Amino acid sequence: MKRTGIIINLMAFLSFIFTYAQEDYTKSLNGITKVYIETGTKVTITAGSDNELKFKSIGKDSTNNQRAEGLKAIYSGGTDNTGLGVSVSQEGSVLRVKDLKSWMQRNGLKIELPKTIDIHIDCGELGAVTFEGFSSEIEVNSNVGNITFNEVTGPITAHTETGAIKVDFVNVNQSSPITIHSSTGSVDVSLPSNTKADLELRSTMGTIYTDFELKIDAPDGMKVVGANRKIESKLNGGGVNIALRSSTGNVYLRKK
Amino acid sequence: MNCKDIEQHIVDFIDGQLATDEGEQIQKHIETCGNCKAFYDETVVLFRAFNDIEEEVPSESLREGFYKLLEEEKQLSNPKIVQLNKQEKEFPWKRAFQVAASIVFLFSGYFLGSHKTKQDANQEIVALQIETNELKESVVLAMIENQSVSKRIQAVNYTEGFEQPDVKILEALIERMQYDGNINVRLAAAEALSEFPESSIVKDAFIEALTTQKNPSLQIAIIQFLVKIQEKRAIAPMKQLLEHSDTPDFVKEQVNDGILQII
Repeated sequence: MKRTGIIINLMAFLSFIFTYAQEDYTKSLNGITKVYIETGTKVTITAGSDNELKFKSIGKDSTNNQRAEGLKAIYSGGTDNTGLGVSVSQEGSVLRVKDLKSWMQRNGLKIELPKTIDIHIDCGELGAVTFEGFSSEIEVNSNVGNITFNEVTGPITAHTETGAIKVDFVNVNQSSPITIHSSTGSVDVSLPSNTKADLELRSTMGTIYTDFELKIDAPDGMKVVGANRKIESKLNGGGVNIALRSSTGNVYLRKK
Repeated sequence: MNCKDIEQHIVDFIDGQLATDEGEQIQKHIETCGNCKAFYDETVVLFRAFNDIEEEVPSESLREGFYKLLEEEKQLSNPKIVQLNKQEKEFPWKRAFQVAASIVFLFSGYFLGSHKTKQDANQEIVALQIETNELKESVVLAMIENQSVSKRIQAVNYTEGFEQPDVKILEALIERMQYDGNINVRLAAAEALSEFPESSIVKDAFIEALTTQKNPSLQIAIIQFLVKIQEKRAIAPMKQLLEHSDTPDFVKEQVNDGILQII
């Protein structure tokens, strides 16, 4: 009984060491301002201090295919120039990162990128993405996967068909608009209480919830035909445009 | 009483102002003392001489001369008051006319000037407005192709300030609504275009977009616009949407609701 406990602890320790010590791939990002990522899996992108692209604990080929020994994997989407089933190529100031493996065989990606680099990510059909600590422009499209942002500043342009979007702003970059849209999922955004913004909140068939004191200029008199259920309001005197939309989901705007 | 005391009181004795016994003593001494008798006689003579001198009185001519001089001095120091004779004159019509004319000129000049500057200022403002609109339009046209999605949305949002945008702007917005790679830009463009329901190219674009766009949010935005402007031509493509199996149920709900409102 005692021995099994020790063994389990040892295994847990080893796996911990492996997950954190592993950096399978790094690439310098000198001269690159934007990174395009295409993948169909669950991705976690964290802000790092180095000006490098890093894949962390990408995991070896989990299928451990003995039949493939002596053979080379080829993919329809491009050439595997990293040995990890990922194609990395540079086009001017843009770096394209393309996940070539099927999402069936890829159990998540962990990517580290510099805090200030612009990111565009396309999550394919089933991919989901989590961002941690970026102050750059981020553009995300997903189909069913959830999109989560932690400690970001924007500008953000995010869209998902059925997933939920959750954004936690540390402060709001006033340079250009923030647009967050889910067709059928919920949109949940937390803003610092002193954020200056022109809010545009819309939920065609859902409900909008907030703990901000919003002044809403409801059009008096005539009822709008084919009601366009839009709420427009200035936060702290107005500022950058923040549009939160959902067609059938609810919109949550939180103050922190 | 000795000779010295006599000498001191001799003047009072002559004037008769001494007490009687004192006077008798002095009288007796003078009759006995030769020196004092001589002094007494001298003093009496001197006093008599004083009394004999006539008092000098200033002459009448001096008084006259003085007053004359005073009068002259008075005249010099006082301002001269010239009394003008009041003349009964006629009302000065000529002068009044001149003053009135100058006032009229002054005011007419002021009003003319201010009117002209106002007109100039208005023209300048109009020119500036046209210029800023053109500038905004060119900014929109330049930004709407930007690589950054957020900037493209910003460009689309800019058009909300336009009252009558150029056809170029509307075409650029329609292109964004139909073909932009990002759904959020397409949605923002659709919303921006909804502000111009009078434009026929906008109406046509929305009817076309109804058949081509697959995103449910965009479909709903398009349906809402077409219902709002009561566009009868939209009914056929809306009915088509109902027949498509890939149209989500909540979009079909909107279509059904919309068709009822148009008819």
